[in-house]
Amino acid sequence: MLKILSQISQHLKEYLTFSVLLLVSLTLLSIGDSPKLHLITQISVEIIGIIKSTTNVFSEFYNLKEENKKLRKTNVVLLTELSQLREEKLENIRLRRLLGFKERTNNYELVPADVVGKTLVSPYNYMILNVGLSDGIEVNMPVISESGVVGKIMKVGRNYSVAMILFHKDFRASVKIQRTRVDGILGWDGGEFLSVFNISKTMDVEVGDVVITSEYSTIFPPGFEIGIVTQIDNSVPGLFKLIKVKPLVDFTKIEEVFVVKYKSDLEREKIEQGIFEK
Amino acid sequence: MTVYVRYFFVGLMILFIQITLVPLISIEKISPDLVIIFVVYMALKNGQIPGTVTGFISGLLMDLTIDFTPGLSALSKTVSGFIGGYFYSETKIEINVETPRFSSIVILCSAVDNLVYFSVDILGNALNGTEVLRLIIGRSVYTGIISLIPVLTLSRKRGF
Repeated sequence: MLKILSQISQHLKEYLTFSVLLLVSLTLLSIGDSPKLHLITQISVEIIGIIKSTTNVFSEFYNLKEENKKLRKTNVVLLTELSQLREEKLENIRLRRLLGFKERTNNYELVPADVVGKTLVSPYNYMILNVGLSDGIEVNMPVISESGVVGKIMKVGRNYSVAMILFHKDFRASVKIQRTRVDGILGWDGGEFLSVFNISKTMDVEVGDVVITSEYSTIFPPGFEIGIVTQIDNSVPGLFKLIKVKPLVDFTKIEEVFVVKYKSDLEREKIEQGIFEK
Repeated sequence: MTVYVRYFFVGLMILFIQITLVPLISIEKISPDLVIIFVVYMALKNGQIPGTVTGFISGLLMDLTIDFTPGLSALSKTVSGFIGGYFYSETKIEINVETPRFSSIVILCSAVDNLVYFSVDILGNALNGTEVLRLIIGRSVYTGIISLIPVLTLSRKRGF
C-alpha cells in the first residue's frame, strides 16, 4: 500500500493529469446529446460530410459498369411490379371503402440523398448523407432505399446528416413478421445478421419470413420491409426464440437513399409517455 | 513548443487517413487503429503526460468525427496513453520506438483501448460476447501488425 502511495506521490503530475482528463471524458459521456454539444456536433457533421464527399469520389468508380447493368435489370423488374401494385392499390382502395376503413395515407414525402460516407467496421456503424437541415431533415427521420429500411437520422448538420444504420448497436425498431403478424423488437448484437428479440418460442415464425416495420414504431411508418428470417433457434434458454434476420439492403454497395419525412403521431407519443411516467 | 504543433498536425493527418483510407483496408469488419499507434508513439517518445494528453485530444477528435459519441474514445485513448507512458524510459526511447517492442506495446495499449471502449457493451450485454472478443483481439492484432510499418521504416533509416 505504502509502495503504491509513494509511487503516486513521485508521479503526482502524471496521475493528476490523468485524473483530470478522465473526469472530463466521463463528464462528456454523461452529458451525451445535450444542447451544449449540439453546435459542435453540427460543425463536425459538416466537416466530415465535406471530407467524405471529396474522398469518396475514388471508390465510386468501382464496378460502375456492373452496377449500371444491375440497375437496368432492377428497373425492368420494378416497372413490372409498379404496374401490378398500381392495380392492387386501386383494388385495395375500393375494398377499404367498401369495408368503411379509414384510408391510410402512405404518400410520405421522400428526400433523395447520396451516401457520401459510411463506416461498416465499428459497433457504431453509420452513413453520411448529403442532406441536412436546409432540406428539412430532422433527427429520427427514417432512411430507406429501394430494397428496404436502411436506418434513421442520428445527427443533422446544415447540409449533411448522419444516419444510424441497422448495424448500429443502439438501433432498435418495432417490427412484425409479415406472414403471421407476430411482433418483436429488431436490434443488432454484433455479427453479420440482425436479431429479432422478444418473440415467444410458441409463436409461428419460419425461415424465409419477411420482417417489416410495425405500427407500434414511433419512428418508422408501418409496412416497410427490413429483412428475411435466416435462422431460428428454439434451443436457447429462456422464453424467447433466437431469430436472425438478413437485411434486404446491401450496405456495402448502397449509394443512394431516401429520407422519409415522417413524423409519428405526437398525441400518441404523449399518451405513451404519460403511461411510462406513471 | 513548435515540436508539439508539428505533432498536432501529424495527428490530424493520421486522423484524416483513419477516416478516409482505413475503412478500405478492413478485414471481416475489423480495421486497424492508426490513432492509437500515434498515441503510443507519443507516450514512448515524450513521456506519460504527453501520451495521456495526446490520447485525450485524439480520442475527442475521433468522438467528433468517427463515433459521434462524445467522451467514449476520449476516455479509452486517455487510459491507453497513460498505460503506454509506463513504458517510457529516457534511456530506451530508440529501443521502444524503433524495434518490434513498439508493436507489442501497441498491441497491449490497443487491447486496453478496445476493452475500455467496449466496456459499456460488455457490462450491458449490448453486444454478443464472442463478437466483442473477436473485435478486441482482431483490432489489437491488426493495429500491432500495421505498427510494424513505422518500426521498419525508422529502423531502416537508422541502419539497424
